[in-house]
Amino acid sequence: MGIWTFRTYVSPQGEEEVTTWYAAQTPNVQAAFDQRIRALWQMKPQEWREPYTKQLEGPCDGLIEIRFKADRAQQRPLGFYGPGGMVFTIVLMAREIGDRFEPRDACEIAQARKADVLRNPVQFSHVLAVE
Amino acid sequence: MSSAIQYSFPTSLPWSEKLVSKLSEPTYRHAYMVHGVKNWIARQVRTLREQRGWSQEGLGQQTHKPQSAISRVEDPDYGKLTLQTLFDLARAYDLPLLVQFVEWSDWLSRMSDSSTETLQKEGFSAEALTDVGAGQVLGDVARSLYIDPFEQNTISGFTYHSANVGGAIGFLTAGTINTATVGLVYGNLIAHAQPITEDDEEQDFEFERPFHKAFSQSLEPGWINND
Repeated sequence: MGIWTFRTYVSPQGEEEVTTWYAAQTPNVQAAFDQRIRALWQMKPQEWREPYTKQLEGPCDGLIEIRFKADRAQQRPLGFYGPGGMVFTIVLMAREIGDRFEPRDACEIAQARKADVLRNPVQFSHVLAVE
Repeated sequence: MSSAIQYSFPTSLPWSEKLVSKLSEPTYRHAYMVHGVKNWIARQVRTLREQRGWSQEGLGQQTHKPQSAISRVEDPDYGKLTLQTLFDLARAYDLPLLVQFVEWSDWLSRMSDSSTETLQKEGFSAEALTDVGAGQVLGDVARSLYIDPFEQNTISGFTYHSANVGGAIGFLTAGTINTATVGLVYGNLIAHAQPITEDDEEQDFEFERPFHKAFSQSLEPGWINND
């Protein structure tokens, strides 16, 4: 019943970004992520705005952050719309501490991964199931 | 003609086996519920506001709260929403609030569809309450049975009873009740399938509501409306 397809970045070594991050999280963070993705899955494009997501600028221009809080941390999965219509690809699972991303070079990493995915979606991304 | 009735569990439950596996862990299970409710409420408050064409300031005026308070309510990560605030919002939206403990299957089913259309609700209408037809009632029951209330087949003017209970309900919602008599008696959904041939037996199916498993019957061709 969702209207979006979510994808996760896959490294050249075959490691799925979201899957790897997810396995290392507490049940509370996992549940928060699952429910936020599920909510976004059913939201129309015009509903993808704060407080659920935010369009980024500057070094992160062209990227979108998904926003949710769990275990007292501001979680910030970074991604972009595409490849293709009604697709969102998560390229980096970042956090926001203060007014900075962790990792500090999150924008640069995410931009490079976005380029990889757009160049070769099959190699650099997998579909992410929504629970 | 074979009169064997085959029952099968539904393949269209709104949750996956993988989710069931995750929910088997108590900490995750509780957190999944908490975050689900937070997301739902925040999103529905915003959806209802936008459905009425109100700004956050406008809703604030309706509820005697500042815009900042409305903004917090519409934040799914806000953790201090009170029942009184929900009551205030319900008054502004002219909607009733349903707060109850339910079983997991009921909760997962109710929470599975959070589309904009589902979150939007109309305020009180005496006309709507007195004009609740069997179709709407049975549509609600069909949803609780996880079956599509609009599935039906028609062949050459006859209504081919594919024997899905949802199909029977679908006929009723479409205004035709010839294929099966579907009634709501004391909260139990009863479907009565009319066979056409002498060899076939009439079947009565009674389901308690809520019923967590949809029955999908595969009747042989020939179970056709004979009215």
